Amino acid sequence: MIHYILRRLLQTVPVLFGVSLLVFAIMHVVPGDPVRLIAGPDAPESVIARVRAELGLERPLYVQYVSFLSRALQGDLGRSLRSRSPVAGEILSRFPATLELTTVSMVMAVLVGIPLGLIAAVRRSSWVDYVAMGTSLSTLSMPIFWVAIVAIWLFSLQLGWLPVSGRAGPVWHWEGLRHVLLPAATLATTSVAIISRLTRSGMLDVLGREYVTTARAKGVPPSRVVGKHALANALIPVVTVVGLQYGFLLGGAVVTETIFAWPGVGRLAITAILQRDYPVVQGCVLLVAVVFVLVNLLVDLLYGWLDPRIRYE
Amino acid sequence: MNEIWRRFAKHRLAVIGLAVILGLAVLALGARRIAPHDPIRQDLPHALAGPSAEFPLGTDEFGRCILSRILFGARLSLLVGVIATGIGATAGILLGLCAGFFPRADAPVMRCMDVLLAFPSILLAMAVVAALGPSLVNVMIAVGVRSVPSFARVSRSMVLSLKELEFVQGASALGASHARVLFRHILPNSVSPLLVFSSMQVATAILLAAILSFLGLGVQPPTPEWGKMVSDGRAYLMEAPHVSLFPGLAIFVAVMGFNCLGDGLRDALDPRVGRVAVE
Repeated sequence: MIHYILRRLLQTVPVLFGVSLLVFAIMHVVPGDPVRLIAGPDAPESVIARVRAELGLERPLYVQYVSFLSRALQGDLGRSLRSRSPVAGEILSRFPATLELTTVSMVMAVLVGIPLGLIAAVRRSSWVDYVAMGTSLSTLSMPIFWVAIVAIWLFSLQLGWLPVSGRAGPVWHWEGLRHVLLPAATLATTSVAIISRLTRSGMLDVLGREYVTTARAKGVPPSRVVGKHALANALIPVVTVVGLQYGFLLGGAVVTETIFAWPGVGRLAITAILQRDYPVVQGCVLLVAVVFVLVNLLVDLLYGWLDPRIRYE
Repeated sequence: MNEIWRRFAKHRLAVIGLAVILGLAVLALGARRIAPHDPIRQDLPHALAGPSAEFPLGTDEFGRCILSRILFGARLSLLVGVIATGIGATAGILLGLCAGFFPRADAPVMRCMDVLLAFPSILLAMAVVAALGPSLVNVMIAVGVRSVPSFARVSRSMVLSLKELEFVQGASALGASHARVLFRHILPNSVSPLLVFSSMQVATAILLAAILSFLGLGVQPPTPEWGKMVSDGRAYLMEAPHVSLFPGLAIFVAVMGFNCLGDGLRDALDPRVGRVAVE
């Protein structure tokens, strides 16, 4: 087991190295001079030269890359070109908001998606099945920003139940909870669709297996056959998808955070991209990729725990 | 072929999907004839009007007919969806064929694909557009780049399973060149899974392109684009929700069409390929 974890960790090294190279390359071949952005469009040449030297931009690219990489490994992601504060700090200060939004949304997705898929599978080809699967296929085809806007229009502007946007403290306070509900539900729509479809197909697959027939034959009550014997095995692929989706969203739900003015990592990233704040973009993308790779690893390990047939040699 | 069509036609959803796509394509091509108004010329006295006989879907903040803008926007969305997928498919399939066929190319190519896959698609597309600058061509490239690794994976796995088969081994033994084996024998036999995968990718590409425009990284105004129209309408959500509502509905219909088609093709041709989601 330890060997397996170590080997998987080693495998992620080249991927992360490639990620850092790509991020660095993208941000350094862009047209437009970041120095002009900081110094202002009318700054004299002497000021431009000084800012350039301060940022180390006059050095050869590979030197810049090596210094970027070695500092990143020590947790120093540079300073924002705009706010002049450390990028690592900026990201860390926004991470709790993203963590909260993502967690609430995944909990919602699991609580709705699994029962939905379960019912659709047990009542296969009934109207429940058609409605559930039709809804999830439609949801997968909706642009998430549009779902968000329709939700705001309905629940905030027309019904006045929930606030339009923003975050008001942690989720365990009433106001905080009210603010997180709409963005989390919006974010959950895609996951609900994916989870319910997977649960349904997993259940249909498992319900046809011999051990389920055996369980029924020896007189296990139907609810127990479905709830215990079948569900436990049907949920294994669902766990993977939930894990991956969670890791993916932890990098910041760019669109949802933008629309709901949610102060998370995704909004930081898009603002930085629009303002060409290179160090912040680099930091955000690096964080996203690292989190994603680590979550991948965790999901693999969880798999082995859930399904003892899988052995790590 | 007849057999495939019969299986396809049995899948009602797929036929509906195909009909929706063909319908949209006709509307997009005929936009100049069908659209009741100029999609770009401003008409301020009619700004933010609700649906009426003159403006069936109402007008936006500049008094432009939303129906006309949606019709012209269809050209852009379909074009971006298809061309971006084409870019991703061409690059991805070539890389996948090489990785699967030449053992020495396998590891380097697929590790590069892993790197691309480590980025969430939206962030990757945003970074590419930010680097190249917002324009129609760059949106196509950005959206296309995202699908390269998935196409590479699908085509690589096709090569790996096909190249052990007798007809491929036979062709090699008869002295066919690598290129001939790849493009004459392996590729034609991989068409159906790639086709299924492509139609689902077009759906994702349309969604992603709309997201880029929505975030202000897509086609620049006054060109009518669905995502941008939804975004512009946000400011008037209270008094004129139709400005955002209808263009969003158009995106939904187009994406749904390609998704249904993909599902139907999959049932008709190949049950193995899955689907990827955006955000």
